[in-house]
Amino acid sequence: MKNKYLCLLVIGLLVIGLLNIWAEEKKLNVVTTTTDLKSITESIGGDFVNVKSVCQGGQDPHFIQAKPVFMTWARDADLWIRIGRELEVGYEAPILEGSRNPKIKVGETGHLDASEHILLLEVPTKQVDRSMGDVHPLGNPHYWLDPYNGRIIAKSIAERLKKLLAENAEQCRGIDKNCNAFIKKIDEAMFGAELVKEISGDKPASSADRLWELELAGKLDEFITETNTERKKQDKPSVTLGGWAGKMRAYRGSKIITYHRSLSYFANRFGLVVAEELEPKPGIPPSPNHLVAVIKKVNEEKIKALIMENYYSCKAPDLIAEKTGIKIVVITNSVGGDESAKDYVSMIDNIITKFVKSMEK
Amino acid sequence: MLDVLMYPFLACLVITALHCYMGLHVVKRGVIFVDLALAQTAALGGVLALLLMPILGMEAPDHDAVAVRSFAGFLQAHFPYILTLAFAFLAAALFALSRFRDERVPHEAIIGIVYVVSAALAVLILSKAPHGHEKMEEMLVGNILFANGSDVLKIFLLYFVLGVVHFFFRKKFFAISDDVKRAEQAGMSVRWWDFLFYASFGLMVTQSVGIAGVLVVFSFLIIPNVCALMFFRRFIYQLLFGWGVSFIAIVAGLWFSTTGQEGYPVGPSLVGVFGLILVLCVFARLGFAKLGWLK
Repeated sequence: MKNKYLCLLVIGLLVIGLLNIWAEEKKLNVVTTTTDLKSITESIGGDFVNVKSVCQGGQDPHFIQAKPVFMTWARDADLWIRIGRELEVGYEAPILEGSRNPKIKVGETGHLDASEHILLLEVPTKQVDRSMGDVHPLGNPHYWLDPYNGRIIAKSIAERLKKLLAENAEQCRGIDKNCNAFIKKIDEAMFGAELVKEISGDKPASSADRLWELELAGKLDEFITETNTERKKQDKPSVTLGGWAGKMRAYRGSKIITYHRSLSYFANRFGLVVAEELEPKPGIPPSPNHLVAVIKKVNEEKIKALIMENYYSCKAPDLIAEKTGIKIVVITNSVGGDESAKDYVSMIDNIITKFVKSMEK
Repeated sequence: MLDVLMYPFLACLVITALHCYMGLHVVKRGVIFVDLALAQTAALGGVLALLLMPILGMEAPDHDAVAVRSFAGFLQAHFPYILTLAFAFLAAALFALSRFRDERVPHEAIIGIVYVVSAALAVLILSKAPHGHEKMEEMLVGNILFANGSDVLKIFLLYFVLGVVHFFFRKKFFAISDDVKRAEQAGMSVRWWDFLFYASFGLMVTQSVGIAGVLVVFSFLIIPNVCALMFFRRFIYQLLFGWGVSFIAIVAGLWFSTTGQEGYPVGPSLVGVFGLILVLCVFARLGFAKLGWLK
């Protein structure tokens, strides 16, 4: 009798084990270059993907210390996702070459450049030469700090995952569902849940594309005024712009100082003006003359905030703060760069929260 | 994992073959930091090339497709490397000339000065010519993990030639390294042989530093030889022991870089293992001395 139960138990466990192995096999191995891409891929791929990131959060993504394990990850990968725009130019090729994995070569289905359809800024219109500093000839690669681009990256990743999982209709549906949920999360964080609900009405709030169109065209305020006039006629309470856009409204046109040319996209989206950078040219450490010029500018133009990534040294910013009283906002531009930046949305949320807090002081 | 580490492993073997021998000379002469100084001067040449190329109206060399048809084309394609070597030879000449007969100024002081001044000059130039920042970092930090087949072949051929030259003139080089005064009295042209030594040394380290970085190259040069000097007096035993120690360190260091979930950067793993082996050698030496096995 006992033996029978034991047999059943063993068989049961075996079956569960086999099912597990089978389920494991169904997963796609994805390697991303940065933690932000990893976070977005996990949000969209859900249970169908295993994702590893080459850079750790809070690292300067221009440089990494290469470890043999990166090659083995790449060797087992079904998909390699990069930021592109020459950000990974220092290490991507040797890792891909060392992995000897034909699936993830540049141009194959297993190689995705996340910058394919994004809104790109600062593409040099003339020949780049070294006197201009570390200018990326293919445009500024720090584009993931614009939530609008976050949506586009998500869609690109979803498309590519579906291509790789084409045989499994159910998984493709799951990817679509996750992608819509992720985009909705960004939209609600950007405009506030109230406004997203308003625009999508009774339809499932899968997408607030219209809000983005208005935002890009600079007509969002007009739209809200019109909507509220309509609602007044129907005796409904008025809607307000919430979320990041709502929080940042008050600071439109504010001048900021940055350390590296890495906040262009963020500033562009939220209407901030980057008046000056601490690096005299991108990639060149601050020089005394330049610091003096920055201090002068901050005092003359009454600039209130200096935003910098947490992997730069605080020495030069501290000096400027001492001389001018400017507020230093230390942020992380990557998921995992500090403890509260757990995923893509909370990473952006952190930058906004820190900036607003320092401006309110 | 093994296939990933094959080229780094081969590169380490080729590097250690020549560096271990050269390191013996370096330790005997007491010019421990000569590799840093030569590598940094060479890096200065490379940085200067970045600055000069736009001024001279040269395009940056395109490594994927260099059409080398004429001498001018060749010069343009390899301009940074040519300048790198020129600076390495310049430093070699400087080291050969700066050896004072009565040692009023220690040679190591000159080497240190060359290192800091060329490092500072490189930074000054870089403040005007960006992108070079990554170039210099690459040159000094290197990344042994990214060594590929053509790197290994290139250093193998070059080191083979240098090895043959050194084997041919071994008596001369050793005479100077062992006792410079005696060599001079015997009528040898110390300045000339010194220049040849430092020039060949410069050729060697500019290549190895570019592939493996300063930390790793320094370890390969010095640590096995310091271990060997503790146990042996005859040159050939020192060399064999040094090669043995290096081989163990390479295998152990590469293995360590693959341990654990994430692994570790390869270069620092190698250096760490070298350091550990040195500590073990020191204890072994003390133990042997206690037992009276060493004179």
